[in-house]
Amino acid sequence: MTDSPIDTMTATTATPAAAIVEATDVAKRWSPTAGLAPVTFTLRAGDSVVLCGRSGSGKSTVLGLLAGWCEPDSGRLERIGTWADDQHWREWRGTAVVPQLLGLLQELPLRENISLGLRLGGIDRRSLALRTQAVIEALDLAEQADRLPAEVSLGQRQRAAAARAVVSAPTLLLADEPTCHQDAAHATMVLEALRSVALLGGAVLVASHDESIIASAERTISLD
Amino acid sequence: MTGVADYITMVGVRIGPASVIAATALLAVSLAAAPLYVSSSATAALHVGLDKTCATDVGLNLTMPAHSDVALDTQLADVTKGLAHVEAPINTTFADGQFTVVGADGVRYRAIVIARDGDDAQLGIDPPLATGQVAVQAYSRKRADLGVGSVVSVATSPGLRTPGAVATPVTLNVTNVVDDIPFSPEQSYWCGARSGLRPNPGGDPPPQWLIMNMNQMVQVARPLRVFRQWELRVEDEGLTRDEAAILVTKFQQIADATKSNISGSFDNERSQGYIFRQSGPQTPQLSKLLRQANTVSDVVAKTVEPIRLSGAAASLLLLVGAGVLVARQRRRDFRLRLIRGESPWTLMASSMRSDALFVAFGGLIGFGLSVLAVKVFGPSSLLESSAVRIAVLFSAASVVVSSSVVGGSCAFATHRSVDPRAQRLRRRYPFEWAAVVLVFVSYRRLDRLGGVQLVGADAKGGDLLAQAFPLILLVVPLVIIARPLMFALRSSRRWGARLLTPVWLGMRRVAGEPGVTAVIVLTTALAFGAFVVSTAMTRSARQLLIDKSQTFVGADVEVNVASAGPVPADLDATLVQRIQARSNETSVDVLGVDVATFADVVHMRADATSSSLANLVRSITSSGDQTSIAAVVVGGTLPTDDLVTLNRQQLPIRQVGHAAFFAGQRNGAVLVVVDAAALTRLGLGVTPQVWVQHPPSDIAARLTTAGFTVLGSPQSADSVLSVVSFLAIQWSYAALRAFGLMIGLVAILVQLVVLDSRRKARRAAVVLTRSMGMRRRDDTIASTTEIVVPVLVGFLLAMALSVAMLQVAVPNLDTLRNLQPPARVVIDLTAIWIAAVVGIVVTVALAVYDTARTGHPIRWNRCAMDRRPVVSIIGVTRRFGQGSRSVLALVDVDADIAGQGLTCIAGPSGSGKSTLVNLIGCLDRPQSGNVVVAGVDVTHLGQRRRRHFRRRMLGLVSSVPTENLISTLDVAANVRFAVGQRRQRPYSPEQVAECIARVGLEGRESQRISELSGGEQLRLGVACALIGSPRLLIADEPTASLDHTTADSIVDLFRTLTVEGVGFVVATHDHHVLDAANSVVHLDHGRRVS
Repeated sequence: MTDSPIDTMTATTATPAAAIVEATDVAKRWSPTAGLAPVTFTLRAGDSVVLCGRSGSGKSTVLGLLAGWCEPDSGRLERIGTWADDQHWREWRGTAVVPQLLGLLQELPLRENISLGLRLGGIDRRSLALRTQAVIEALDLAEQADRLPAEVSLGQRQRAAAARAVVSAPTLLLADEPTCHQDAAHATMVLEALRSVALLGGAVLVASHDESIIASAERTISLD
Repeated sequence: MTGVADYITMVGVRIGPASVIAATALLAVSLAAAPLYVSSSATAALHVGLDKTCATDVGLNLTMPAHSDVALDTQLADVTKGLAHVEAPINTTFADGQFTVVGADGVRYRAIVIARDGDDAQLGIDPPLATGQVAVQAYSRKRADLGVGSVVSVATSPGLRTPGAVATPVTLNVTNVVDDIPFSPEQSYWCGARSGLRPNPGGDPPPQWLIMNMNQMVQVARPLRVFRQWELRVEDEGLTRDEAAILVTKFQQIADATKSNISGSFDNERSQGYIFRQSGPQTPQLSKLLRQANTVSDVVAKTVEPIRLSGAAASLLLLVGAGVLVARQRRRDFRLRLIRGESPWTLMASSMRSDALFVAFGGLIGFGLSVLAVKVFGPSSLLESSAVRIAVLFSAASVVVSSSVVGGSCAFATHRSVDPRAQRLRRRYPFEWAAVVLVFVSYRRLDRLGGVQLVGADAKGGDLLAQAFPLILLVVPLVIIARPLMFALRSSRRWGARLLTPVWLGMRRVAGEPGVTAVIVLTTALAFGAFVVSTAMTRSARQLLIDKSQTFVGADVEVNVASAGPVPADLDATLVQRIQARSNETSVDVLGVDVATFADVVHMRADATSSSLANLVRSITSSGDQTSIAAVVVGGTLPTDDLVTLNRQQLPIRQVGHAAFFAGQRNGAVLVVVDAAALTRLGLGVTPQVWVQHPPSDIAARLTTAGFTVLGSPQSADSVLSVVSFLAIQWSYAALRAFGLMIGLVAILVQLVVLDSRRKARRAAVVLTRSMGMRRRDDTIASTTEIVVPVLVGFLLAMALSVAMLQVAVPNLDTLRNLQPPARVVIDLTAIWIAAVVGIVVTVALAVYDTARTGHPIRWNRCAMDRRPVVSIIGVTRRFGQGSRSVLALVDVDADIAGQGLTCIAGPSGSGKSTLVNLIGCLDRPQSGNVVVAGVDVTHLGQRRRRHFRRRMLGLVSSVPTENLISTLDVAANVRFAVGQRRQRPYSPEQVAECIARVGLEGRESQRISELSGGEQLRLGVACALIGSPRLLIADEPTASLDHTTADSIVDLFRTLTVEGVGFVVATHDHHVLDAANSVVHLDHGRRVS
């Protein structure tokens, strides 16, 4: 029997149902024909939102703006709450990302990749081990946990990237196509793990064109 | 810091081309520098010899009657005009007899008359002497009271005139008094007159020297025969060995030609043998110096050859690595071309054309570096033109070799990833242990042959394997250590969890790629090791010469004297006595020493004896025992202590001490050291010598003044042994330092490449780790750890290996084993410190560079999928990796997939879908089982046939849309390119348009690939794969990253094409595709499931 991720993680700093992010007419232009048209949305604590739209509509751009990797050309993007103070939102416990490119460190086995954020955050070793093991088991990575990323399949790497984000219980979790390399069963696991962050009071925003994910979303933001 | 980072990023070059240039340059240096260095050492040896040899002895000397022969003079003037490296001829007039001079005091003195071209300039006489004038030395002013204004009468010496000849004294006016002509040290101009310059060994006062012009000399010398010596000296500035060899030949030609053209008026003298007395080579000394120089170059060449070969081997490995790097940069385009059936040889030719400029540039740099390095750091800055030509040829050859190796490794590295060869029995033979045999063979040859063998001034070049011993003993252990090192690194992957996080991360990077880390460790070790070994061996050789010289002579100078006496107190000297004796049939050298002064004067190495020299000397002090003499025995044992001198005098000794070697030991005979006073008491016939430390320049005169009768010339420790041969050893091993530097550059380059590769691999992770709390300072620490650990391990390994190797090699590379003391290792600590500091600086620089270039924003990317047509799979198993870490991707899978329609291979991630798809596409082979595609069992086909099969029968669409296309071509050009790869007749524009329209891209012919969306790129990739009407189209997860509308359009395209008869095999878990499939093969954990 494994611990549920909920039992082993601590609560975040956000107040349930309080707004975390407010975007008002946020737009970003990469080229004359590519970019993000003005979009307005609010993310609240506990939200589990799917960002959908056709290819090239700007889903990845929205995630990039929320992650702080680029600035909007127009509009207002405001982070609300204590997590926004002193740039805490830039920390991994503030904003965690599951990018499409995954971004795992090739020299670390999956277990150490997953726990890296906790280790850098200064958590004690025992808690680190417990939380890491819990999320590993929740995402069916127990057999591969001690292998290097190059030694596992793409789907397993993707689940490790998701685990790395989930284990830190962030205020805002951003995921770009987190199930594109997953079969149905594992896709469900990944989504459940992501949603556990929302249950803890954070907000989850998933960019996807997977119909099943869109259909099961509590809320969607469409960029079409 | 940001500015520095930006600057570094701005000037940073692409690693692939940079490594090609660097590797080619290193190969060119390896090949071209050796002949230049060997040539430089030969020239340097020649100049060392020229510096120590009298210029008169080296040049061409022709003796002829003094009266001028215009035709001969004209001929000689003509032949010397075209000669390079010769000075203007010097004519010295001399008479066949001696002279006397009567000074102002009426006393007749013995005299030497000099008349020589250039005397005036050499002696500062201005205006030149006229007829009737004479100049004297300052010595004459003191001795014979001659000065300016004196009148002297000069005549030939009685008793030496030809019978019947009348000597008519000539009266001359003294117009100049010049400084005494120095003979110690003698100036080059006067070295040909050495016999006149040196004082009479018998102790007579030196003769009076009279300087006059040529015509006056002829008059004075009547009735003696007067001759002149026509001397052509070698101008050694800028003279190379080749040019010296030409001079030898030219001098001989001049002498032969002049001899045969002598005019008839010389017949009388000629018949009496007064002309051209010299027989044989006209320049014996120059020929000898040339021989010495050639011997030195042979020694250096034999020692440098293994270094050169090692450098070339390392460069070739680097070229292969450079090719792999280039392949990585062109991977997408190359892979596509190979998948479409293009031959790797075609790719190789294409790659060679692309990299021609880089390779040529690298060759040019290599040649330039070789010339510059040898000119600046070589034994001589003069380079022979023949050596430069050879270097040019080698540089050109390196360009050709580099181009082939880079192109080949680039093409075949990509080919290997596309279609690996069948896995035969995995070879785990420890081939590196065969290198141990090489070590033993090399050591045996060194032990037996002793490396370079010196025989007097000549030397044999030595045996290649023996000379290579130091390098072999440095390289082989590193090769053997490689596997255990990688094993240790692999085992260390889980260590260090409690370390500081940045250090822990750095250690993970080190252990994450054991092979790469091992390469860095070993190249670093080789670089440091070669540098330390080289400096130690050259320093040891230099010290060995000093040690052996000082032991041979005993002190700085030894002077033979006629009898013993007290040495002057103001000289740092001691008196010794030598006598030969026998102990039964064994020859014994007996050395009697002055116990009061001996220990303070002589040089002796501390390892000669376990106690100090002073204690040893004290032990032989004469004691009350009169029956025998206390003695220290050196270098062996005596059959009996009752020695007998060669004069049959008894010399009983009593052994009170032993030493391994001793000052004054000359040969392999046993040396017995006793108190000189005891020898004197016994009245034995001894040969006394004065040994002097820090002697003044007039030591002979000083000893003569002190009452000694000096016999012969003082023998100096500086010149007793042939320096040139020792220099050859030093120069030989200096080349090892250059090798170490080159390998050091290789190590740095490998580090740069590895850091660059790892940095790019974690580029996507950097932004994430920053937000996790990893600061730039932590990155620096991690990078530093990543760099420092292998460098430090390499450095320590190098020190251990070097010390061990030097202890074995140095004693065996003693070129004069029969002379004491034995060779010993002299470690140059300064060199080690320099190497360590350089290592630290380079490490820090690499860490700064690596940190400065990290931190680019992540780029979102899409993944795409491809599909595959249908085949028969029979009992197929595929395993990846080895041992406990291996993964079974497919286990005994059977599947029959229909040839028409759309067949999907479905399953969870990690179930083996992609593996099965690759097997069908002839991009992989199973460990067991068979794969039959379109009726052909492709399992065991050779790579060439599989390539042809792919080109004719299959269309392959990669999961990443852009990997199906050539990024530099537009839409229509991609189609035309694919047509060419399928070996089809070129498409007309209408056919191209039709092909594009077939996949829904009509009107987009001129668009660039980057302007297409992911779905459009995938469509174009399908269009290109359909060219040539393959039997099957194979794709892996073509719709993973497409939105549902685009995915649907792709599925519709597939449906349309299946209606047209195209068969698809697609690996997917997209239900859109699965819903459209005609059949599905389910996989789970590598096995077929229902």
